[in-house]
Amino acid sequence: VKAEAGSPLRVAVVEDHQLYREMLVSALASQEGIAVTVTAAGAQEARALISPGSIDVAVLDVELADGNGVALGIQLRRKDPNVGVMLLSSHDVMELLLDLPPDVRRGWSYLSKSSAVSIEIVTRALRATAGGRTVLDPELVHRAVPRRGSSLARLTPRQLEVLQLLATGLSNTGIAERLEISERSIENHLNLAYAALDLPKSQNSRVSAVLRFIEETSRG
Amino acid sequence: VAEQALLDREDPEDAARYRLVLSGTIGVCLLIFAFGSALQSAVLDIGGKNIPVWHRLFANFVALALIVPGAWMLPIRTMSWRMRVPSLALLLIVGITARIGVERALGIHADGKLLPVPADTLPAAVAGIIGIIFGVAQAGYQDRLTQQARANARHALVAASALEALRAEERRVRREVADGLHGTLQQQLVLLSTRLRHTIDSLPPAEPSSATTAADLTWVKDELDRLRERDVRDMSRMLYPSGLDLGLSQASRMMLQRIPASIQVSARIDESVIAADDHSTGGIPFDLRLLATRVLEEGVANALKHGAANRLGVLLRVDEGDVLHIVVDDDGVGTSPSATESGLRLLRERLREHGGGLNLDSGPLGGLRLSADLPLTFGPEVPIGLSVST
Repeated sequence: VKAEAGSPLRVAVVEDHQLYREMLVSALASQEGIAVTVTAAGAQEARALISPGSIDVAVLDVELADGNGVALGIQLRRKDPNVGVMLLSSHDVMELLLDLPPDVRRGWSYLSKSSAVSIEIVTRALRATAGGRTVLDPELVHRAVPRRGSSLARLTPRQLEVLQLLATGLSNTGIAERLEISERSIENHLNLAYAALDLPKSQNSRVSAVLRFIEETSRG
Repeated sequence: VAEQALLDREDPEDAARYRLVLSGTIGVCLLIFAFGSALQSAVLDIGGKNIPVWHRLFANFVALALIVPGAWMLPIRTMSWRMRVPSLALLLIVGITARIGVERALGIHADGKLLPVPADTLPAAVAGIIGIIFGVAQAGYQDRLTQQARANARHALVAASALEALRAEERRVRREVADGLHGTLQQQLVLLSTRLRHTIDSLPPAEPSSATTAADLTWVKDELDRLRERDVRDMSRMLYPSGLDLGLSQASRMMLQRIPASIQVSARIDESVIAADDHSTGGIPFDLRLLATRVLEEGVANALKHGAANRLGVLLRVDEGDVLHIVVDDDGVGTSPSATESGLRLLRERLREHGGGLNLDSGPLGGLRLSADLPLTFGPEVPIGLSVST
């Protein structure tokens, strides 16, 4: 899915708020291995500028002046199945990821504009999204509490911790480093967690687990 | 309105219909008279001269052949009554004069004199007058019916677009006020709270009165924070539930997500809701989406407040008849439907206005079951910023 190591990650930024867009573009441009190849102020402009195969991941504002980022993302993905989509919103609308059509469900991420998110986190999330993973806003993930009686509430604290880190876009290696345990035991924790959540076999377990996390938590 | 009426008067289709009805009605009336009087005269042999029936018929048809095309050709519809009466009278006189002429030529009235007018002219004139009056009345009536139908259609159109504009306006105002509450007011309150904190921190610790003042101010600050965190945010959500722009299922999910994690919630938002709310076809109109979200909120709030529920079951589904069903079950104990009922009266009324309803019953979880029906009407409205073109 992702461009091979060495070549930079090609990013499109679609955001109607000019100052925010310019700041985001310049912050991304300063990052190693990231190339912002398309910037657009609206859905229509984005549709005109982005051709299949030209980008690896699109950063889309949910509330665009001339459309909505979700609909735009679905369109971009259907034209180019390799494109990752990262949604940005000033409101907590993480539930958006739950109602995506099944054919485009992989590789969607969500970051909140009002969270304290660093450019390093955005960059990491962009890479993971381009790789087909689903990344959630770390601040929202850590604020989320599993709902009583849900399948998520059946997880052990350790399994939940691993799942939370997974939801913020870390790879197994990244989670292992963070928790200072072996990658092998991370895999074990995840497999047990997947089993406890009784995830659908037909879909990518990592993505399904993250979606389940959204569905079965309260963020107050 | 006057201009519109004038335009309708010039509508060629309306003018043609008027001519047809007018000349047609006169034609039918005169045709009946033409046959009737000719046969009557022949059978009774008035004047005793054995005039062949076709002679009388011919004379009558000459009059008919002048009057009916005349009525067709004259622009009666656009004439004022002052022009209409003399024009139609003249038409009638022409027809009757021609009839007398033909009758004399065929020897029906023996002497060739013009006067006195033959006795059977009076019934013919009366028949002609009746035919013309009947024709004008009929054509005018048809005309008014058409205009009425057109006016009704116009009014319905105006009313519909006014309603649409009103909906859009309500939505705009709601959103603006909600954004104001969520943004501006919240920020002002944050600033006030911060300033209070600085004031508390800067109180000279040595003075004995400082402690009570600090405690007082801290209380005020906490109240302010609570107000900002809860009341202002709640009010903003009440005005414009978050996610409403993104669809009913989104708004519902966001609402359910805010229920405290200690409450067990099994929610099912059926695919049919997402299908019905497809933005590319307009989706569920804003006011219905708002009402549905309100019902769900009220159901959940009632279960938590009055029923002290620990477990909720929520179902949203759209059936084949495009009726949205909202079901909220709880396991609350000690709930009396009557306590809950009073809070639901307004919602029930609003649902009824849309042809729906609301019911409160004992539910399968041991508490109450609130079930609401809302027939969906799909307008052409596409939510602002949500148009999806494929």
